[in-house]
Amino acid sequence: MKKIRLIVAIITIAIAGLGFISCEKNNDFHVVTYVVKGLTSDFQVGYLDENAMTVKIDSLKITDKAKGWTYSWKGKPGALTYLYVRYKDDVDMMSKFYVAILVDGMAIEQTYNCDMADTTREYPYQVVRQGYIPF
Amino acid sequence: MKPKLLKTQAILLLLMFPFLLVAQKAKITGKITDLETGLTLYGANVLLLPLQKGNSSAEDGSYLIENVDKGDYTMQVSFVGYKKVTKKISIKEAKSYEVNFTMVATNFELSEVILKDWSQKSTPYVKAELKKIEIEILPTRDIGDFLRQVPNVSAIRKGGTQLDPVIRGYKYDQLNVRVDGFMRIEGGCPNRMDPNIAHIEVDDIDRIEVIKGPYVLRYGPNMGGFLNLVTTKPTPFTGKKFQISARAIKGYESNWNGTKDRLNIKAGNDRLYFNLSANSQDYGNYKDGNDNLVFSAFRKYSFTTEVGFIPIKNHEFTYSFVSSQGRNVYFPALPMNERLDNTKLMSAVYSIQNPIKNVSLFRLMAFNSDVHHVMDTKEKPSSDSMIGESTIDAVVRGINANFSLNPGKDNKIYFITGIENTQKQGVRIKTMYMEPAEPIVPVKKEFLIDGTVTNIYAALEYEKKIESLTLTGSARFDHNIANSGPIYVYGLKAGKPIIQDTVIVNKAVLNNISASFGINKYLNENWTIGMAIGRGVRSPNLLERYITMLPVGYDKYDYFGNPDLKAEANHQADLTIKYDNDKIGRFTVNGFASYVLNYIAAKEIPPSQYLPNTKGVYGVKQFYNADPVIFRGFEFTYLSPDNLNLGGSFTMAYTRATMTKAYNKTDIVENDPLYEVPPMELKANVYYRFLNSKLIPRLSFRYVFEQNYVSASYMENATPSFYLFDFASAFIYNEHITISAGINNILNTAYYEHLNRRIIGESFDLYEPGRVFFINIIGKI
Repeated sequence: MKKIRLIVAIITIAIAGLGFISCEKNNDFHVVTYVVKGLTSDFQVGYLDENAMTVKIDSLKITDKAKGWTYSWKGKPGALTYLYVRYKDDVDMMSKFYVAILVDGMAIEQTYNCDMADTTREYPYQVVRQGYIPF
Repeated sequence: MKPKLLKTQAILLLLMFPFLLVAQKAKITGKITDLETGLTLYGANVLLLPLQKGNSSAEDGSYLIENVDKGDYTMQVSFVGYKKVTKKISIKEAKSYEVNFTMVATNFELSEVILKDWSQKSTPYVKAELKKIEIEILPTRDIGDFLRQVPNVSAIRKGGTQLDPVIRGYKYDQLNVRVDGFMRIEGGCPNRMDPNIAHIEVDDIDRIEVIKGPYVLRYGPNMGGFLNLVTTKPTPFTGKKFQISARAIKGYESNWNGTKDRLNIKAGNDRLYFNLSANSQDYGNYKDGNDNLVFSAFRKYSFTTEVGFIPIKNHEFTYSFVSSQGRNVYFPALPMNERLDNTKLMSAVYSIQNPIKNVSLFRLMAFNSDVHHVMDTKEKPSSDSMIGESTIDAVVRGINANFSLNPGKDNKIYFITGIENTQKQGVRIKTMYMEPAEPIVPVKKEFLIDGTVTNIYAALEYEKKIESLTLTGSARFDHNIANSGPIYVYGLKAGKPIIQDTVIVNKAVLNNISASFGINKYLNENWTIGMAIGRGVRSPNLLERYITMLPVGYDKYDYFGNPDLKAEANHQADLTIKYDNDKIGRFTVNGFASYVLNYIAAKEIPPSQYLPNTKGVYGVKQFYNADPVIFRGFEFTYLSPDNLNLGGSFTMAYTRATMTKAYNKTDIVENDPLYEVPPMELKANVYYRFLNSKLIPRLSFRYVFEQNYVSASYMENATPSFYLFDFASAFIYNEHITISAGINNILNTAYYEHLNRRIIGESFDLYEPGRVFFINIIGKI
């Protein structure tokens, strides 16, 4: 009887523990990285940070060509991601222009070209990408 | 005058003649208890053979068989989960005989599950009971889905799980849903993705009582029907020695690739005892009969701790805590998916048996149900431009005092009084991505609901047995006070969010009186007749009163609450006739009719008043008290004699409901069919008992008729007919292990029920799962 009690107690604790661990799956943190590459002139960005607040930077310049401009933060599945880029360069195939939102290094959103252009503006070209950390 | 009086007396005498006759016969009474725990058993079947006369035991374990002729009989008592007990009895004179039974818990009798009687003999209304073992041997994912096997009970499907039950066309808060007879849960989602029953883990259920109609009033305001979810409770063991028992279930379903696990441990002694359960369900998306994938996956977990303590003789204290959680529950027919649900249920009950003379039981009960519900549109088609995330907190707290009185033999009175408070608050955060002008992500906060309702009540139920006649009566008074913060009326103007209005709400007070009366008469050993009439009143719920601009209905409209709604009142009558013959079988026919006043429906309001807040809807509808709605229908059940190896059953059920006046935009529609009422359906089962009833395979057939009696005012579509074949078999390997397996939807039919909602962004309804193979293994030590 003592053995049975012990087995039952172990099973109970194990099941409860497994349950709690499984429930915590959604709480695993993932790394979100915003990437902008291939721009020589200065550009503007707007993005959502780890607090779901919009951060707006009016002028940026890429200093490391290979790496480009990046910003990383950690979030849970479902956290919103958003990257807005306005730039001056009239990019082409050779420019190696690239805008992406990566989650744990994998692109969930990316583009090699602009979404729209308005030549009346100081920064005529615009890219907007959004999403969320997958469940 | 005198001849008239004589005539009346003669008629009365004639009417009383059968009672005078039965008074010359004997009756048998007694109590049925569990041998191990000493607890009384409720719902056990007592049969007098060879007469086939019988009854089922009441809440205190007592039973009564009346009108018994002199002779030698065998009494047989059966109850699911217990060994059948028989006793010989010799009736020699017209007096009362007392025969008590103690039963030994064992593996269930499969035949009692396979051969299901959908209506109980002793009530004048239709009452069905579903037991734990039925949940365990079938591929049961949730309570709403499970209940669909009861005649005239259907459910609204919006996803893979959490189906919302509909009884004879009554739905939502028209049904009184309680846990253990007193706890009420308020679901979070205004669109009822988590109806109150969804917060109880199906494997924690010990039995479900379904009462059709406004006849049982002591458990809460009951307008259209009562669903009592009785959960597994800790029970005291015999003796001081610490004892332990465990029960585990492992279930698997193909198609969904779904698994469910349960472990339940009961332990303790005769003073202190507890019940500990852990449940888990992990289901993927299912494929319908056309091989299309339906995004319906879900994960659910729950943990239950219950403790019982007997401080002194006849006193008992029980405390229960349940934590149930849902994660990533997908609803293809709703604008949002459930991302997270954390529900905490607590209850405490102090009971005293026989505290004073004529009081058999006193109970003081308190509960708290707390639902924290988060849902979003992140995986919906609209998520590329806007993401909505809603968080709703719904809390219900209640306390009541409950008395069971026995003022004389064959009389029972139940009295209950208490107070219940419901609070619901919800906000939605809208994040709009595609705002091209500025690189700022606009975030809008909208208050969906912020209401509270308090219900103060008192209810009385009376039951009297006079020979072969059972009379029941009940009355209930509810004092209902509702209030809310300001209602912000959101809307979209030229695609831009605006606040159209701010409505300041006045406190609403409603006083509701409900009452019912029933009579049940055993005409002879074969025939029983029951008749019940009742008036059930329920106050509008928080959503109907205070919701702001959400598409929460069947049709594509934003809905807007109405703080001035009146209470809905159902006036219903039921007539039930039963014939029971051990050679032919059991037949039950029930017919019912209801007349509902102040039915709460919704009608369109002009765009000049309010604009909708949801893209793509036709407009705004506001709740109102409609003209009378009439329900009528029938149920027919046949069960073959249970002493045959080859047997079967047949049921047929139908409800038709009509709104005498409805609105299609501004046009009046007279006699419009009520929306969301299921069509006629019939079910047939054939089974064979092998190995002394240890192995019983069963083949089921279900035919659902076309539903073309559909609502014009709600733009309801007709639903085609379909038929299904299912196969299930359960096998008792030994006293520790039972295995059940089978195939649902053998022909892989592509079909949908009339109550299935339409998939968002599509023109077709949500299809039911295609072919599913299942296996459940139940272990017990």
